[in-house]
Amino acid sequence: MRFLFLFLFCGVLFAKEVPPLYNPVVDQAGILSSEVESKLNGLLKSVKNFQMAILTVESLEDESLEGYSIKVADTWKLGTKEKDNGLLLLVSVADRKMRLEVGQGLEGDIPDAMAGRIIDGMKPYFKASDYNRGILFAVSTVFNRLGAESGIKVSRKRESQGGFFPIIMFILFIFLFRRNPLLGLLILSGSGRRGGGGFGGFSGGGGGFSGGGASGSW
Amino acid sequence: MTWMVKLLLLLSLVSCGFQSIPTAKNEVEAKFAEIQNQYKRRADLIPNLVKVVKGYASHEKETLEAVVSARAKATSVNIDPTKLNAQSMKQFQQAQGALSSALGRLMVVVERYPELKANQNFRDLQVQLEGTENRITVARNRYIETIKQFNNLVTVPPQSWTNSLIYKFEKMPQFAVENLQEMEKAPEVDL
Repeated sequence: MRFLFLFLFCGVLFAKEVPPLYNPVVDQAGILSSEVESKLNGLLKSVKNFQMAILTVESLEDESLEGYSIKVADTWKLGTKEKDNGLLLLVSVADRKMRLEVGQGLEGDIPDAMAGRIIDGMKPYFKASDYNRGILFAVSTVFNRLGAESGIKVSRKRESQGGFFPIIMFILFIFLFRRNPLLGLLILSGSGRRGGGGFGGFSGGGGGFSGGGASGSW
Repeated sequence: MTWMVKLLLLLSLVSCGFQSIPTAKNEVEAKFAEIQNQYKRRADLIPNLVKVVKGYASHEKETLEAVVSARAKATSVNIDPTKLNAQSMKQFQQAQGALSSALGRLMVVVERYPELKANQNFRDLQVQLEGTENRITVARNRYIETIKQFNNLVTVPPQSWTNSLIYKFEKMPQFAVENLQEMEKAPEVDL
């Protein structure tokens, strides 16, 4: 026990901290849109036969990708203690690196080579700075692989940057607001709620990791 | 009255390493077995890797042979985790380190063969090898932590008194990482 305290203490003092796990998606780098974030939070909370979390960080701060990844996985303990069925997707934006850490119990379903292909599949999206689709691609592939329904369809076509859609929405909104201010306010308050905590908490179940998975850079 | 004495005795034993020392020893053995397990996993990948590389880079015979013989040597060194000592540990590390550096050299040579690098089978093997190296690192770090815990128990009082009275375990060899890094240092790329 004493030893454990020492370990925790050292971790806080000298290395990049592991953020608390309050939702399946911990988007510290802020690269996901609020829609995608809340969609993934809902999806990852509802899935039963495994537990997956996504962490994005701005930088690894001199830690190695693999070293930080296993530290996060060990701290969060994704998956159950009996099945070790946890997964962690770690993305570091400044280092342009990502890793899929696979729990011990899932190494048969997602062997390293498969994890490597998932990482490879994310690269084109990430190169185009389309983090939303890249991560959706990874999540949907993992779900497929583990026989769960994600309902995600990732199209290869890239959305044009900005585009007309927000402008049209804005004009429509102004139009609506002028005709019926109350309805406009209602929409405003509705959109503000997105990306919130959702129902209940999210925490790991004691799953173990032994360093399986794959890393990549884009 | 007697049951109270017994209870006191039991409590004092529990707090003084009567349980924690053998537990820590078992933990060390398990963690070392895990290291061996992951090194074996690496050794198992090598025949396939060599086969694939041979198909594209057949005249890198020397490098390939070095890997094969280093693998043979590494797989011949097996240690019973219950009989760990500094000597056997050193032997084990040297054999595995030699294989690491032979593999490192092969992966450098491979850079010269774009067709090989594009081969999906090779890419999968490369990912598996990377994954296994990472597992080895993780297993090694965990072993280092448990060894530290065990060595603390058998050398730091008051638990060490229990050890010297009852168990008489010796300190276990730590995994010498600085030496290992030297052995596993990736060779320079010269193209």
